[in-house]
Amino acid sequence: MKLLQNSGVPIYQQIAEQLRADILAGKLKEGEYLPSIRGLAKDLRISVITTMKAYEQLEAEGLVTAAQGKGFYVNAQDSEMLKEQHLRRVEEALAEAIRAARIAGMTGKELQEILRTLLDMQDEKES
Amino acid sequence: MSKKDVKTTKEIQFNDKTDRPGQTAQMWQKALQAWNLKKNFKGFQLSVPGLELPKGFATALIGENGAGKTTLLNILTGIRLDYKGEISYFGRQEKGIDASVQERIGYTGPGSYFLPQWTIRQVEEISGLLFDNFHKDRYRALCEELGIGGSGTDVSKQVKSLSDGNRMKLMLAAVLARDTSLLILDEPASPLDPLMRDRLCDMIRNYLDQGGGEKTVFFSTHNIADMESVTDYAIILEHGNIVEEGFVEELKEKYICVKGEAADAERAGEAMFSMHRSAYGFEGICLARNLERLAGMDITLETPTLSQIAVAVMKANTNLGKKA
Amino acid sequence: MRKKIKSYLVFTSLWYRFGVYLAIPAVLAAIGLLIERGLPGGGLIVISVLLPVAEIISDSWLFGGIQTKDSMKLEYLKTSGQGKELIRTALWTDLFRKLLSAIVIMALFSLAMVMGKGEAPEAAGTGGFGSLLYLVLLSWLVSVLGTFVSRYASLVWINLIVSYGAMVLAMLGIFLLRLAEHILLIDLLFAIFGILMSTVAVKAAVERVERSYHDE
Repeated sequence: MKLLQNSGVPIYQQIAEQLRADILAGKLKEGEYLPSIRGLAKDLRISVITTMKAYEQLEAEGLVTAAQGKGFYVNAQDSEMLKEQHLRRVEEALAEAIRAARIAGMTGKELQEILRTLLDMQDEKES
Repeated sequence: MSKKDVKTTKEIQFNDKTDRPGQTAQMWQKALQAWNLKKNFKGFQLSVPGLELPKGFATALIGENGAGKTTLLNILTGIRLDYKGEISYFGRQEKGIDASVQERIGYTGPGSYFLPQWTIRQVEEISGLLFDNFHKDRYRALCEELGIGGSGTDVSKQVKSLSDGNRMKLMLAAVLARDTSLLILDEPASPLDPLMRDRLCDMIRNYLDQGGGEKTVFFSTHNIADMESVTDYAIILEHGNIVEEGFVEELKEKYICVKGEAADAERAGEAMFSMHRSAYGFEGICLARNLERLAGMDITLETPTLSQIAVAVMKANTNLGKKA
Repeated sequence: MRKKIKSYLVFTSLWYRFGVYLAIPAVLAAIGLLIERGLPGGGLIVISVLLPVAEIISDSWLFGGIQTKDSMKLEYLKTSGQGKELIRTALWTDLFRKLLSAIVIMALFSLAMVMGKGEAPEAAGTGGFGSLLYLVLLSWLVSVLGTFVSRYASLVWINLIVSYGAMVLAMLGIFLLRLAEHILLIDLLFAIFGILMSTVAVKAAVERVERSYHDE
């Protein structure tokens, strides 16, 4: 896990994002326990409250569940929720791209051009 | 600038959701509770109506020199008995400190701690006599690890021949060689060099991890920047009073770091909690709830560091003190 | 019992033990023998006068400065429920050790004299057990008084000065011996005074610890 100290994104959020990605990608399996909040804090060299907040965020999103005395384990991910998660991420990423485009002074059309180009490149890679 | 709301301890800590399941419920267990602590000095009074240490976390007591940190810690450790108020440890019904509680507390401090003529070896022997939960092998391993008596610890080295940094390490070794439930450390970072300060943070995290939520750390500092990466809960002390406290992540949502244009500085100043302005612009802390008053200005928002929050809070309260 | 001894020993360094258990007795015995050659009966007297000097100076490495304002803030001891007891036990054991040292050194010396000469050493006129006990108790008492006073300062040269004063006091005591009639009665008085003085000394030290919980 890589954490950026000065990226403007709170550390707990970075942790939550990376764990979320791992869960959605299936790297963390259903029923698997996340590292203890204090163990993770020790390894990442951050405060316990930060790892706790990251876990609570994942819990609020329904990705993990807290078991009394044992820790946080990964929930079963149903395809509907997965889809929703991915959809949200696409929306967020596109909103970010639009914001950046605005700042750079690009038009909507130019943005769509870039999107088309990237999609084509991706298709080429896959074929 | 509006007068800062003074919140009671309970209000600040429990205005959050309390019915969280599982591990998070531990957040609200207290390692230590104190009520109505008062102590008078020449021209100074320590007055703490309520104090709670969340169990399983590292709490920082932040304040300038002379704010009353050492006095408060001395009272909580039981080495200062002339005070008013009550303290309850580890959720016990009985108030006050006794031998069984002292056995579970590990304290380090800036005062005269060891007899200067004691050697590292004597500290080991005395520790064994003073505390039942002292482990000689852990002590030796720690002395070695921390490089106190030079490489291959020279146990005949006297305390008075140790540098401030090494003396601090010796205190840590003695305290960590015991099975304790609460560490009370008075300015542990001060005598240490940056590399060792880093290690201290690691040692604290390790201690908390070993405890799995049952061990707690309470340390004081006048420079929170060094210990920020290990701080879970912060208590800011100014002139003997607690002026702000909370879990760090919550404080970072309560206070926002705002940067803006010089032209807006005047207007912004009225809404900001604390501010510094120059010809190039202004920068300061704004309470989250006051952010809307800055609408329309060209500003960037950032998460403040605990250090920035602490400085802003202490400055604000110093000014109040001056006005009063 | 074992813990009592341990809590005392824990304050002593290797050098201190070497000095007090080996070096001092050896040196004093040597001096005693030397004096005895030139001045029969004088050896024991010299030992009883010099022993407090040695005790007071060596104490600076043990409990030196333990009654100064700051020193008793010994916070490490105060964070333990057993800290106060530890100090008290150590102080009492030390005082008892001083008595034991006086007894052992002087008794052995006397024994050596007796075996060497075939008669009890003359001690300034009167001889016998009573005067031996007198010298032992005098020496011990002066040691107790001396260390009590010197512990209020943490500088070694204070101990030096006090030890000279102690020497004078001891010599006065020796002088008293010449005039004494009922030696055993005086011995008893000395013993009682010694115990009283010890109690005062230990109490003063422990009280310092207690007061530091409240002082500013």
